Amino acid sequence: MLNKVLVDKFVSIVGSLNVLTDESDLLLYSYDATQLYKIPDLVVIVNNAEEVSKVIKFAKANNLNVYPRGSGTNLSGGSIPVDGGVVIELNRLNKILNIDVENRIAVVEPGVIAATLDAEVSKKGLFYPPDPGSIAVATIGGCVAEGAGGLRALKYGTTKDYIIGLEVVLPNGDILRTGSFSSLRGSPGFDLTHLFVGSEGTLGIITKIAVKLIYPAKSRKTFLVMYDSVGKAGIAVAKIIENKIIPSTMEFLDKITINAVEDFTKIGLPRDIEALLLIEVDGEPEDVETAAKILEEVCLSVGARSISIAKNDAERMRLMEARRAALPVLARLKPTTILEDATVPRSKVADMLERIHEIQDKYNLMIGSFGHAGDGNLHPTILVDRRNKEEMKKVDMAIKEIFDYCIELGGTLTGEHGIGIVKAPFMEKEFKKEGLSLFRDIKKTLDPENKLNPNKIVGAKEVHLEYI
Amino acid sequence: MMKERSERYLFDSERIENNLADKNLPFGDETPYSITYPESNKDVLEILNWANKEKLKVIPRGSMSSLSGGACALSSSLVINFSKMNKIIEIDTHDLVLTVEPGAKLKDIYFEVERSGLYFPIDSFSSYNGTAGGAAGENYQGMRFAKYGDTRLNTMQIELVNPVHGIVTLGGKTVKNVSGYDAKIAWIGSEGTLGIFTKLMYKLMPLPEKRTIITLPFDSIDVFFDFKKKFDSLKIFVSALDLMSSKVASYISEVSSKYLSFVLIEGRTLEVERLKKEILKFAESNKAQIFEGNDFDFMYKKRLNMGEKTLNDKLFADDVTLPIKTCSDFLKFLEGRRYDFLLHVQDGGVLVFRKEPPGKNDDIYEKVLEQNGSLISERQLGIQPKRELFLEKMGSVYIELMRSLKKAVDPNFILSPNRYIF
Amino acid sequence: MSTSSENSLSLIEEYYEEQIIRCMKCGMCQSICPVYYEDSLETGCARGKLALSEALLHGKLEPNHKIEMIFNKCLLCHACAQVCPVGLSPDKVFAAARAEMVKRYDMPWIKSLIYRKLLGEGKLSSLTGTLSLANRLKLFVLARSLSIPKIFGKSAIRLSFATLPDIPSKPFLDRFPELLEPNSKPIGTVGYFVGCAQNSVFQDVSEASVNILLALGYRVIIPKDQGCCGFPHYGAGDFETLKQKIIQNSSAFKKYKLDAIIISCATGGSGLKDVYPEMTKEDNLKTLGANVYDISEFLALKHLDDLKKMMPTDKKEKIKITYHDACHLNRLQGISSQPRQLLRIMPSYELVEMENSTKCCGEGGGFTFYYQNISSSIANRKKETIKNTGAKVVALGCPGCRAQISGALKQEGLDIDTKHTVCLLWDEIKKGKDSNF
Repeated sequence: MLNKVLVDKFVSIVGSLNVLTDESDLLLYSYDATQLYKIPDLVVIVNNAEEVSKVIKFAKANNLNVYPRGSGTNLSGGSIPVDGGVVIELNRLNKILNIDVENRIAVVEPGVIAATLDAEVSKKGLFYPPDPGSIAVATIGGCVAEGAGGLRALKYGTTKDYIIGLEVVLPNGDILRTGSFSSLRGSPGFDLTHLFVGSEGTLGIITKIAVKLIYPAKSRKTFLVMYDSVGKAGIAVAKIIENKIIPSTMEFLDKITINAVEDFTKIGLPRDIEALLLIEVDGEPEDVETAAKILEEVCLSVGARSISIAKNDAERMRLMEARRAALPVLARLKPTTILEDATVPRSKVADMLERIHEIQDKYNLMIGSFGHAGDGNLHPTILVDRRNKEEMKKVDMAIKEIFDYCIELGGTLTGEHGIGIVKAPFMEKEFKKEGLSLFRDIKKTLDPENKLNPNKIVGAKEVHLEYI
Repeated sequence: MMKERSERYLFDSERIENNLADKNLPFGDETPYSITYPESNKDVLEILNWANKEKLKVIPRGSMSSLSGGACALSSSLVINFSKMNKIIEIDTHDLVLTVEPGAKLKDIYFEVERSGLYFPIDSFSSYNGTAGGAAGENYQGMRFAKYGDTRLNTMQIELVNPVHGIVTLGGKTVKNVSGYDAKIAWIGSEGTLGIFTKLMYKLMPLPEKRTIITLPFDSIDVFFDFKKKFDSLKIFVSALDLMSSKVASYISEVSSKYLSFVLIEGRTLEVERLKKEILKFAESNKAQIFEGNDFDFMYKKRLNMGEKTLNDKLFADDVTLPIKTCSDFLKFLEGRRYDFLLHVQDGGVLVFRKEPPGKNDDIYEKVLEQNGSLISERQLGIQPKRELFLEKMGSVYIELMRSLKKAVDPNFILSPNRYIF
Repeated sequence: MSTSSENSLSLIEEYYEEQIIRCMKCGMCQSICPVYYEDSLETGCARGKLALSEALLHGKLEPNHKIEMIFNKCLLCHACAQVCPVGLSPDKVFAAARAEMVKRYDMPWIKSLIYRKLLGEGKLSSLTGTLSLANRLKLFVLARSLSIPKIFGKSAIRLSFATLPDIPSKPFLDRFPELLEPNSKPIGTVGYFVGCAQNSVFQDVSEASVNILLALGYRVIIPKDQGCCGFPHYGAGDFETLKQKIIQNSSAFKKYKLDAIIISCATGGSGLKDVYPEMTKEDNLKTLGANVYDISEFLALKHLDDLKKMMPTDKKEKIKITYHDACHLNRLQGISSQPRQLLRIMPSYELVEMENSTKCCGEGGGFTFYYQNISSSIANRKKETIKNTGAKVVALGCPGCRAQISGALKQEGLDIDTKHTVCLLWDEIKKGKDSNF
């Protein structure tokens, strides 16, 4: 709880309707999609970059932590106010300022929902590829801060590949412009734009984003391929790449996930297959034709049990349904769903999956794995009941083993969810003392007093949070 | 310590002079304190630690091909020459990544990578003789930028050395990676001012099935942009689409028109065939030339070599970027000044050919900034006069921040001094 | 029927703890919630209110009036339930939470007046009489122009009262007999559930419904001792009165042997089909003696061809009409093709779909009074999509929507009528009778 004098000052910056002090409001800004929470002292809703700057400056002068927030849908704890302070809610900065079709650049405010940006640029015949699972609710500012990925990363890359300029409010309140808002090339020197992309709100608060757009693919073909073993699926993935095909989507479902999907959607998936691949190739019509033929041959040559090809859009939706239903159906199996994000080089996906199965058995936990086989970003989804403290302890141990093996395989802690709080304890394992030291120094340079979203990524102290 | 390593350090001025770059470059070397040839990342670390203690400035150098002057030696500096760290460490055909030492020549990389059936589409106009480390330090943005991106977006991992943190590895073979700060991208283009690369991992892609070059003559800028409008209706990126004035074009072809357009199309055979047809149809010319098969290889190499040739003829290729929709007017403006140019049509990067590097008050830069363009397009600022303009444009918040970052990794300001904004 | 225990939060606990604990906080509810869309505040979306429910349940917070108002910040439109990956029905949790608040704080006098007295009593005569008199005295027109009483504020509802049709001084249940025989041998016997709005203010709907059923050959029974279905009470947290209503209506209808019970109110229909089983743990067949159908559902399912034959034959220029999907018809009952089938057989009209026809109108029962600005904002969006169709009439199947939308249209002075699907159908049938004689 902040004292009235401080609260009044914030009110004078943003107006009384935009300052939330009530217990019930504070609770609602304490969590994100990790389901962990910590109650902040205050919530301030801002409407423009100047207000962000004033709020940050005032908070800093009064030794208050500041936590930027968009929709609060991130999966690593990045939005959680872990150490008391002020949550700055940015989702009212929600205008698409400009879509310049000839220059292929869109300028947007951070509170624009990613799906809205997607829809608006599509209307103008352009394409913004990053499509994280939360695209319908995540803000673009959040996507940029977390470096959001999606299903199309193998061919099209992720959020970082599409950001050409930013306006950022630094932890000292100064407003900085990085990169360019009008030209696709340029950006001399140290690439500050990409330092802030993926910085998870710890180096600055993003108040404007310049996005590069490309042309949409003209044609696509969608396949559903079933394998009797994860190993075979892994070989199929490797052979597809060897044959010079870069699919726009290569998604994977494991047996537990497949069975859960079949339970709910009853679309006719066999219950004894070990791996299901949803593959889509897109591009110019000739490219798709040729690639599709080769893909079919390759998948069959590896010994697919069956392969379905969508003949039209409706069929495509049906095939995609199996993949889209993965998280919802798994989430219904048990009261608590913990979605993880273990990323390995593509050549190691089969190994990672095998290890996950071993870990499942070792700790007797229900883990359904699905994810982006094409780019190595898997989502082992742990299904438990958080009221069962014993089980939750096992979950922690299982997660640690997953990360350990992931790094051993040359992978990384997170492919798209961010480090936040939940993976900060594992950072040293991946980056060693030198890397961590560099990150800490970067943070210290931008935020010497550690007031902006503290204890995330390179947390100074260990944080233990409860489930809400 | 220096004496112990005498075979790796050159001290007598004659030996130093013999090992410096060709004095024909627009930015010449001053004679440095010494040149050293590390063979591993540990060598580099040792050198840096020592130089830091002695407060001796260091300048990393690949093949000195960049026209930014970024690798130019200063008299009181130690040149770290990577010509002995030039191995291609690995070409991973499963995970599609290339791991190289910074001194590896791009030419060699192209050859080895294509031999494995893969493709590394990063280049820079003047740097066919460049190195992998140069590509990173200068963030090469070549003719294929619109379709394939620049070095930043094709970098998977960097191994970086600085006097404070030692050897740091950032990134890896995973396609997606958001762990920690995305420093691996941020450092690309920093010209050695915030750290020296000792190993680089770049992204590779499958070598396209078919590759074709088409050259199209044009006699007016307006006619070309009419052609561009039709091309835009295809809504596709070709690997390269350039427009050059005839003087520039003469380096790759006999030219009888005022301008020549260079089109590089790569992809599946049928797709390339169709695009070829469309483009020829749009160009409405009977003087188009098509280069395929062996002819392709020949023309392709010629195109990549252009930079060196123009330099030999004392033509300085200044690089700027304009927003796409202002390009037509900009070209006409250049014509008015009688400057030769090469425009990367799909993204607005322009090379303006001058007799020498323009001063910071040159009206080209005034025009570029007026149109909200950028002061570079292929490489970095280095020691070019326009870097002062950049400093002025960026303002104090940026400069303060960059100085703080520099202090954090290079407190004695020994890394690549007097270039970029430092 | 279960009774609530002494524990203050027993209602939430009793019904919904499993739901609350399963919320993964993914935020998907934000993508579709009409309230969240307006102010982007976490109190608006389901995830936030579920977090609040959990906090109350486990003692992290003490209930208070502010929290009471947050639970009122929901339209009960059920959209969140449709996108929730875990399959929760958050709107039901919030209705239970409201009931908790009522148990703790009881209701302010005006709410008590509306829900317990006016909507609670049997035939709603006093309500009807008052409204009728007020309407004839043009009191509402006066109120609108003077911006009083303050309770209505800027909401569309306030204006809707100025757009009301003539209200007969007696409720429908007083004007029509309990048993109505058709002209020929009855093809079946159906019960008609009038519903409070159709009994007092919108009697055109009940008249049209009953007349159509008779014209099709049904014997129609309108039990006189029926009352409000109780959904308004469910939405207001007055579970006590709701339970009384269930008992009242059960006894009113069960004494007859009916082939079906027909209702022409979207909210009422979902109240009977959805809330009653939730409260009683038994189906409509057991509670009311017959299965419940919305009138459009019933007519389209069983009598589309018969109705086609009753349509007028003289060719006139078609009037453009559009259709608004009431949340309680579309989402709660799955009824969206049936009213359209009825509209398509009407020769006088040409159906044009509006964008986002399934988006809530923003009325939401008490919501429009608690959150006037948000309610109006939502209504205005609906108004825009209606305007863009170029239609002269908007058809719908819910009195709440009808009041809200007609008010919003009136606010902009648009010359677009708002009518219930069955009224339009009955008008066509009457025209058909004229042209056939």
